[in-house]
Amino acid sequence: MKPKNERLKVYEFLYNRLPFSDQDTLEYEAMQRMELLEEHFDLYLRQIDLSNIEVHWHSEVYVDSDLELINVLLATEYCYYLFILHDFSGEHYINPFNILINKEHEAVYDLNRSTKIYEKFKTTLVDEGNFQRPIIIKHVVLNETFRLAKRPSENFLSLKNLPYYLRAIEHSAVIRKKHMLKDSNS
Amino acid sequence: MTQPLQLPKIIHRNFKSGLKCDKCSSFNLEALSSSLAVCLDCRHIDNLERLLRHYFTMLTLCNRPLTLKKKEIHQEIGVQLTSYTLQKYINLLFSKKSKHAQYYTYKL
Repeated sequence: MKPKNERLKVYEFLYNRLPFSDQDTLEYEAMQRMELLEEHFDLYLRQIDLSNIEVHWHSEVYVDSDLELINVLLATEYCYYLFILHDFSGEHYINPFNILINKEHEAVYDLNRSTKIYEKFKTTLVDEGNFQRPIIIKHVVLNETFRLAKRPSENFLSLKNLPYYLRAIEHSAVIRKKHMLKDSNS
Repeated sequence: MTQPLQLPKIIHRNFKSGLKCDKCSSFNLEALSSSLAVCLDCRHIDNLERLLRHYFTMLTLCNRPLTLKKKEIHQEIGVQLTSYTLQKYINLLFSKKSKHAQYYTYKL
């Protein structure tokens, strides 16, 4: 069962007990939306066997003085998978500057942030020994109406493909362990 | 990676105490029985023990002093309880230094 975000617990407790500024209210509402997205993702995560996978929820890191949020981090013996959750709806496209644009031609997300997040985690998630696990970042849009027009992007994972992707992670986690057992027996 | 959560050390002067509804955040709760409470605004029903544990645990984490007399505990809860129900939860959730001591401390 997914643990609730600690900061959200405090905000829920203090809501209506203390005066909330507009900023506090906005932050509280954003955290509630994020909690819903993470619960939605958890429904898919619970469909796979997590015994060989470490799950870390809601990791926040500072990248160039901006606070970035990785909703879910899955660690297998083979790889790190970082998932950033979104609820974009409707048709979007990625412009040549790597910015996600909605059908009203408004910029909604800067995909260049993923590169900075990757670099940050590369310095943080350091493995002992010779093998350094690769880091894969995926943006998961948990909205059935989302569609990526024009050029597709391997950085995006749709709701339709999410179960298959998680199943592939489950299988790859098992395979690595089997190889390790085989090597130790020989 | 994630920084440990910094909880507010001092409760603001305007802090509103008492149990509130988890669903609509209203303070308008009434005890339905010795184990259930109902929100009179949205009709959501919740377990009294869970509400009390959560409330006092969060208060403790916010460094609010929780050494109270029986009457103060009842006032703090903000929900009208029978003597029986109040004593039941005081025995469950609080402890005191001796049998005749007046002050109870929340058992975290």
